[in-house]
Amino acid sequence: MFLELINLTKLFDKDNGIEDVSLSIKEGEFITILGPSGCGKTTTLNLIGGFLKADSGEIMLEGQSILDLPPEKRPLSTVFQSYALFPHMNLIENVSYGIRFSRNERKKKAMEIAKEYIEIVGLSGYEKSKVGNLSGGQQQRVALARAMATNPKLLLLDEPLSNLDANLRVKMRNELKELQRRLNITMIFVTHDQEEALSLSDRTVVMNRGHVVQVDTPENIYFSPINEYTGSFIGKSNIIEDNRGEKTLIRPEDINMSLNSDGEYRITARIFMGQYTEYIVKNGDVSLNITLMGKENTVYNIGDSVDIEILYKVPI
Amino acid sequence: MTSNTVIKSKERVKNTLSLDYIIDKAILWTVIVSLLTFILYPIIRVISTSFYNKGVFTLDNYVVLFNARNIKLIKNSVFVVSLSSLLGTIISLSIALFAFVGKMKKKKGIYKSMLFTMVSPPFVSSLALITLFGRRGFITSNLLGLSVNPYGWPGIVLLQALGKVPLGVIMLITAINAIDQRQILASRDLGATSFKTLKNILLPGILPTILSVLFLSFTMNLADFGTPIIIGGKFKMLATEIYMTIFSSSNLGKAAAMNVLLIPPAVLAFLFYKKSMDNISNKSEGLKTLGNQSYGFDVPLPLKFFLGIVTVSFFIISILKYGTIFLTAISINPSGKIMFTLEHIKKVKMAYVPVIIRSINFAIIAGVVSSVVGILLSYYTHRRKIAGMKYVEFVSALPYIIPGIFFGLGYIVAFKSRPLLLTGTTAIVVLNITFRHISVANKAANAAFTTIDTRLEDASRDLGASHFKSIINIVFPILKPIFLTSFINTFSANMTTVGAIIFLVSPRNVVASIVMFKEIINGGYGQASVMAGILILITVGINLVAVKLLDKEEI
Repeated sequence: MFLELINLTKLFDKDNGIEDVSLSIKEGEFITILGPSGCGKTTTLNLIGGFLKADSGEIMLEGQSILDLPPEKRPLSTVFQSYALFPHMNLIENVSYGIRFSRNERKKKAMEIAKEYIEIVGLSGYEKSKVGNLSGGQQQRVALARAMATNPKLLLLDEPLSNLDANLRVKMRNELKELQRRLNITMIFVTHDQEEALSLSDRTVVMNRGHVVQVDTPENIYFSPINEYTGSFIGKSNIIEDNRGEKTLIRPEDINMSLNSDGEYRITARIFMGQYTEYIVKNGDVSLNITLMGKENTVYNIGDSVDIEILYKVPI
Repeated sequence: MTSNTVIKSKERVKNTLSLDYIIDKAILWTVIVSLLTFILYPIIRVISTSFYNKGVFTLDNYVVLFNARNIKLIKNSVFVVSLSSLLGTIISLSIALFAFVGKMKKKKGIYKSMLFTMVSPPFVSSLALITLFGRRGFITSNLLGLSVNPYGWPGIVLLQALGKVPLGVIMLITAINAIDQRQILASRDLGATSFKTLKNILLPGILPTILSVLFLSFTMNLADFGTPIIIGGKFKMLATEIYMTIFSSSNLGKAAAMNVLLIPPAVLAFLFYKKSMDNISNKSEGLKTLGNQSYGFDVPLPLKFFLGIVTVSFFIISILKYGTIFLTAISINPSGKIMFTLEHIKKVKMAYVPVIIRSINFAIIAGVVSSVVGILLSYYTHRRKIAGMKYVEFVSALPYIIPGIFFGLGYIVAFKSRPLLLTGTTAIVVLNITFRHISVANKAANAAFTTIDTRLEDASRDLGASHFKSIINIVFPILKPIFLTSFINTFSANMTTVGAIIFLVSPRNVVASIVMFKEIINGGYGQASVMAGILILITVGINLVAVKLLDKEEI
């Protein structure tokens, strides 16, 4: 295994921190750690980066323990949520910083290497710009270039896209994925945004309250969630309990609906979202969320009686 | 943003042993040891000196303190200082309110001129008072033909009151600015007149600051020996007695005990000051949302008139003061007739040029060292969050709480024997002014650090730089403006300080402010005025240069 976390524990207090986190990552993999605020995802990243000291457990990189190494000695780099760009340096000085200290290159050589990375992230021509004058997306790219320029074995990204607006976030997401594919860098990407997790990663680690809940491919996590938490945290879901107490998860988009005046279900709410239309239908105690795509599916009204057809369901 | 994004130091991974690691730890321990040695130790020595006589614990020094003669001194001090502090606070409040009811431009003008007068050398007012209203004063003798005796307690009250006005006004204007302006708008909106708003919203809002100004003035005036010596005549106070005791009888135990008496009001002043500062930083949130927009706030005409009179009078007095200094520097007034002369300037040039250069050198060295130490202290305390550093930081603030004369005496008793024998050396003077002002850079750096991303140093280390290299490459460059401002402030203070170092200088390393003080005592008003002028030029000049540099920094 390339990177292994073994029973990693770091508790700030009883309910705060991570406990017994174990994880194996292959070289070149794109891993996302997904979870709500306070689930321990950033703590995990800080432990790998060396900014926190673990209470117990082990971190192995290529078979060697890096647990006792300070951050400057660990062969990995971080893209911080705030970017943490050095405000008193221009773009190229920021990017060359790690090349000078981590790769021990002289300033002149470091500048040359930095230029290559600035080109990779598409910021050529901005070398002398003050980082404060760059846009959010550009700053994000600087942070990425700066982290990659140290030639890290592992790149850690701490919610790097959370400070960007929605459109830019999607664009940067695609660029990041493309970059990872091209350079084949192992990445651990922390996020609370499920779309990011699903679209970017080879495998996703779902965390909750300091514990790893599920590690799997995005498809498996979405379609075969291991428990109710994963099922409801990722995507929208209908969870139906039968009289034997067994639960079934049905995604709102996996239900079809058709008008039938004798149908068992009645539409009680209709929410038009543009891309899709969300309906809530009820049959006695059973209430289901249904999302339907396209203009043709906007025609149903509150009060209509309908039939439903479940296309896919999974027991949890 | 998770709650555990901020990382405490003890949680961090320990560094492995390397040269940079050792340098980092060496810097940390240098900061700690120097602060304990040059601040805490002298203070403790003053207190212990007051309780020990030849190695035996005794309360003699305190018993003597309360004999009839000293009780009289204490009564004099409390009487004069209460009056002067109260008067000074009222004047400060009037000027600050006058600035508040006015337009933005006027407010800024008043604020800036207060900043200017605050760096003025000591005793300039005393000097002006004597030369204007003294036995041979320009006004009393030349204009009115009177022979007035200006010496006595009223003069002390007036000068002490006026002397603390610039600081008071600055503190009060800052506090008023920090009040959420929406509170005032809301009060008006709910039907209160502007006078009622002033009474019910504004004044209660700045009460901690008013008290802070009052007690700060009280502490500083209580410890002020210069003004009573120059202008008090036969009127003696506690501070003059301390000064005389240290100089003449060298009964340091008694002097120490008297100094300890100054502590309770000083602590009280500090507590109010702290409360006022907390208040201001809590309130400044609202300021951001509305900014400093002017929106006509007016008070009844008679009150406005009163505030205006006070403000204008203060400015006239200030102009008169500096004008007098200028006139005195280039004239003699032998027989009721002013004659212009370059005599004083020549004398100063002959006798005191090395002193002035020495003053500048001392002030530069102390300014640089105290700014660097103050910033490092802030870094280790608030960025690295090293356990126990909070206490060290508190120690660094002590010289601000205790009077200068106390800190000066501390150096006498602490460094008079081996292995810390420093008496009479240049080092003792420079060390004293250096460690007196650590707080300036420390406070400024603390404020700056709260606005700087906590993860910058993490990023630097992540990119391969050690703690030490991060300090050099990240922390100091980012705090360059802080360094510059605190250097200017400490430099100005160092150039004009008297209280703490008057007992430490020997003829070999005497500085300009002390020379000026001695000239005034000996009646050398002309030379003293020239010195005052030079000190003003130097401090104002260096402030202007700094402002220019800071402006450039911001672009």
